[in-house]
Amino acid sequence: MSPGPLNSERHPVAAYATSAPLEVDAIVVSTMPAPTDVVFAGHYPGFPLLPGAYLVEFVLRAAALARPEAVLAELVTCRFHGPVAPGDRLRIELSFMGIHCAAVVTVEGSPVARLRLRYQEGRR
Amino acid sequence: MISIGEVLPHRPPMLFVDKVIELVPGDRITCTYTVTGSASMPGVLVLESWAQAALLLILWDDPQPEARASSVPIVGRFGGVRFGRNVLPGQTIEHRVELSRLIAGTAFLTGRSLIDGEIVLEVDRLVGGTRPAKDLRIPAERNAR
Repeated sequence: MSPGPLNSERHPVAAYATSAPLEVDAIVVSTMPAPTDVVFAGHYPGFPLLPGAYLVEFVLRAAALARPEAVLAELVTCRFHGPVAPGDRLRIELSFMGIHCAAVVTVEGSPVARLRLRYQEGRR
Repeated sequence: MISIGEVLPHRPPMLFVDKVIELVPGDRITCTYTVTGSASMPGVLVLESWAQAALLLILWDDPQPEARASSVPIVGRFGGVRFGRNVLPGQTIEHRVELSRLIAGTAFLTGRSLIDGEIVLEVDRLVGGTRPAKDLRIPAERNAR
């Protein structure tokens, strides 16, 4: 026995159950800026650190995976707790509540940044 | 006139300010960046560019042309950042930054960025300054890699 090619768990089985859409309430992604990335050549020569703006970028891209239709209204707060060095594995964890999103970025279990985002009303 | 590269440790491709229009040390700065290349500049890089203008203001009297162990320019916190549209290649962004407060080497700044008078970025608050590398808490094992 093997699964048929028409089997799909990607669509609601409307004929049998509710087709209420699923909502993503939390998402975890990871990434690792390579030591050879050109960003480190200029930030800073001989003292490579990932610019904080790149952490914001990673968080916004992760949020777009969970809320592709949402339009960002404001980066409410963004606190940097520690530096990110070339080759650090970043773990980015987001949780959503209504139009708000909280994000924590960690490296080896230590927080390096915490962000709060607010999205436009009615565009989730 | 001091050049930007003599004040900031940022270098291409991560240097995003290229001309100082007005500078009142300890108070405010207006500077510009013209987007090069063929790709539009996303909001986060406009924010990075604005933050470099802010660093230019606070480092003007204490230039840091090289990041070194004793002193690394850092942003500690952003608050109330709103992005406008992406900036197109060839367009010139005007960054305006005001120093609100300076407490024990930590600067509190506010401002906005415009293109032809249209606001493309608003920043209610940036808190930053320079810190010794040892205070950045890079664990030793990560440093050793």
